Amino acid sequence: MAFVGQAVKRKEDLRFLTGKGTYVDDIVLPGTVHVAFVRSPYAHARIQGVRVEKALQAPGVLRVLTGEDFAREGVRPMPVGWLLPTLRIPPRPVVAKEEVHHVGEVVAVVVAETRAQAEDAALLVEVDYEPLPAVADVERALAPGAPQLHSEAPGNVAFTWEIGDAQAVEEAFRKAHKVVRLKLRQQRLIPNAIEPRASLAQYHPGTGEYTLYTTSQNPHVHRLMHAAFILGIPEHKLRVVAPDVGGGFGSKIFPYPEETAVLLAARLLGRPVRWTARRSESFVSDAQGRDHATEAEMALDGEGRILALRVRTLANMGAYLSLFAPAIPTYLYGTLLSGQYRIPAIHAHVTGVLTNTVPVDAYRGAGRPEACYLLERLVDLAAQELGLDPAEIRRQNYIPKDAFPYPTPVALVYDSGDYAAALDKALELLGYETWRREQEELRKQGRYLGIGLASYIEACGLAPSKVVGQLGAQAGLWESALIRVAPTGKVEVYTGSHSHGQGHETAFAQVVADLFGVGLEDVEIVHGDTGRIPFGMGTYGSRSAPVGAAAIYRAAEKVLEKARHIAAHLLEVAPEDLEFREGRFEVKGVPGRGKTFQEVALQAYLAHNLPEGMEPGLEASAFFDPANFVFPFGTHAAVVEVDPDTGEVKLLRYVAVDDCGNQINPLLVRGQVEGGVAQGIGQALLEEAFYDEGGQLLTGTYMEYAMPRAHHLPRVEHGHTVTPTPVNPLGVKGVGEAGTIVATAAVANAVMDALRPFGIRHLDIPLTPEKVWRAIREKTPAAAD
Amino acid sequence: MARETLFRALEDPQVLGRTLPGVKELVAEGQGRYRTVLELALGPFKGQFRGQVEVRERCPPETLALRLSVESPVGRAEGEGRLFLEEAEGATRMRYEGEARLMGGLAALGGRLLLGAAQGLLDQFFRNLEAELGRRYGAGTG
Repeated sequence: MAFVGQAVKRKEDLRFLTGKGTYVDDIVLPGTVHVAFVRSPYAHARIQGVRVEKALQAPGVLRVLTGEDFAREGVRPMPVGWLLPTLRIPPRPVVAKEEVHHVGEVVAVVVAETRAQAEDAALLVEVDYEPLPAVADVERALAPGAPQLHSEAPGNVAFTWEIGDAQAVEEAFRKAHKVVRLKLRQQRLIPNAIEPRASLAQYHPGTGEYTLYTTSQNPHVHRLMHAAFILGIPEHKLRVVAPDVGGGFGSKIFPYPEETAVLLAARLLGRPVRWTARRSESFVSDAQGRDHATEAEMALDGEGRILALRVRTLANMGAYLSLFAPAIPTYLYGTLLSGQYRIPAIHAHVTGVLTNTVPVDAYRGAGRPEACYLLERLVDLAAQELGLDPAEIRRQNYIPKDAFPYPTPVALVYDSGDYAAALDKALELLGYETWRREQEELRKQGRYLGIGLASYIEACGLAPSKVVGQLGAQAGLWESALIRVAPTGKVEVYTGSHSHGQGHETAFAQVVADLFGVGLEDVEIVHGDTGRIPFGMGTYGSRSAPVGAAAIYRAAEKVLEKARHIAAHLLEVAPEDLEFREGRFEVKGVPGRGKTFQEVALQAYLAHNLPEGMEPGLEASAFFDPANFVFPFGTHAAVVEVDPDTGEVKLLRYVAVDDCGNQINPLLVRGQVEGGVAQGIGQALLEEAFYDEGGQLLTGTYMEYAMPRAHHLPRVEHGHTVTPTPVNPLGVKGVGEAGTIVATAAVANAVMDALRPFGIRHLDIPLTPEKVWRAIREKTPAAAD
Repeated sequence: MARETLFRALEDPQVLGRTLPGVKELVAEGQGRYRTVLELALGPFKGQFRGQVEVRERCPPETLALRLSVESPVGRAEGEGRLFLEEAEGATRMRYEGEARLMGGLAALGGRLLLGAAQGLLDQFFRNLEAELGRRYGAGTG
């Protein structure tokens, strides 16, 4: 029967692929009205007045709400959920009242009978702005005389943070045989989930209860933030439902001003209020990702052993601090700088900088892709400058497989790993030596192939609550599960995780079906509704399997324990005389004498014959708080060809070897890796959110913001190693972000490898044809023209 | 046409009102400043822009700059154009240098396309000017 480990097809795909999913925009409530947001065209301006009279007279308009209205209603600023000792938090209003700090910030909310009427009327709201000088770039924002965003954060500094031992690093650099230096930028990205954000709010005047249907990765977190922190209403008066959600990649973790606005409007108007983002709104209102300017140095000895790493990063936080923003360039970045390597001394210093741009927060990988890219570029440059093979320098520096648990100098303890095994597998799958020979041959013909490797480590399965509490998280990061067995033995599983495309309804059902010995169709996974789920922390940081499924496993154990007692009672034997196999409790040594799971479930509800003192019913809940993060790892390898005439990069091969511990469903693992790789390739070659000097976003459509298309992507060839984690009962590590974390580095390394004959040492991503072409042209003698 | 005549024409609100593309309203506020409402089609955008036209850095009869800053609900546009009036064999040649900047939705939604459209508006201004001058001073004088 064992479903775990099988490539079971996704249960949810039938509805997704036949257009029968239920997304927020599909939910119809009678009497619904619509909002449109008036957004700032300025990156920085003082609001001198908002005139709403004309908009109010427009057809269908019911109300126009401004910053004044939100202030009058006692709506508080958007909260920040991760605190650092030096953190300065400039208040982020739901609707700007005095000043706007980025293009797209909401300045007024128009409510009308139809969407078209609301959008037309929004154009009639007249806002008098006094433009103020703006700054979009971190270095300029820190320079003397830079425009100042917030009086609460002098010098535009939101925080400074460091990790590691600066003195030990200093000493190691003094003794170094070789120091490799690199200045790089991790460009800003825009998340681009298929389904734009959408919210529908309903208020019941009779009970004072609100229901918010919204695109959320964590409905309970949304409820807590909107109820307790922003609106100031009791949590039990707000139900948050996140139905089918079409992708999030982090951008749907956070509460947003638009959600608060529809909630307030629903109460003020007494009618359901809906908003679904236009794609152009997503570009200027969804939290964005990455955006680091970094200077890094690596010290090595004569044999290529890494001695120390020093990193200084300016992280662009945008105009305000989004919910988890302070954690991303600190604890999810600095702690990952050891990678898969034994590095005796590391020191990182990070400055969080405020600029007149859209706020930055977690985007798939969140801090870890930034760390991986930086480290893997440095390792490649070290290999190049020491005349070593990129594979060999990695192998030589890996933490050996007998060194686990391994404490890094940046505060993590890796649980398990066999890094060389994953590298070897990747090299073998690729045919590394053959490609190196091919590369040499083709260079003679003026063709430029590049081979890139990148090894990654990911800290995920967020997270041990005690640890993150010490690091500033304002929440515990455990997960909950409730399993309710119906009298017929059918099973409902209520999980605090949320599936927005990951396939929980299949993977979690596989785990439960195996444990209870029932069919996949007998297990229903329920998620995404604070009215049905006791509590939950949601889905991000590749936590659903290692934490969410682990909680389900624990709850199932409790259910089985009770079932065993009932079965023993019915069979008149001691509980320990039973073994549970394939859905039956059987008396050991007496074949054929037993009770099925369904018989036991029925008896639990009939309660005609239960053990003395036992309560009827068959359900249990459990909370799982992991003892540690889990550390998936792997090595990816890319082969590219660069066309020197056009600068175009073509991906010829892509090999992904991942170790996510035990795999619940290999099909889902492949899907996660491939989606992640696509996003990583996007960052390496195509995507960039580009702001001009004055903070205007110039890449606000798909004409300017280049997403990877099918023809950009190679077939991903998979390999796996399996090193189960001891941290959770399933031995699973997360795999939701792995591909994104590593692919950017693998592809960038491949392109830079291809460009070596031109004497090009480093180019910042994205490696667009124009950038590559210009670099080649500069290095090619003019006579070649 | 003499440079002086052309220069005067360029400062004449009636001429500006008839030559700036899409002008619905042009009200003098003194010192070369005008309040204006324009109805423009810029690439995919069509709508009303409100703002100001300002004549700056005037140095008759050789050069003047026209600065336009207008706002629409979908974004703001600013432009500054400098006109040079040069004598050329009894006629006047007009040379132009300028730049436009877009903000908000106008910048984000295909700013590249819109700048092309803005160039089209500029061409239209010169065509209008030629026609207007022809009407006032006779064909061939523009």
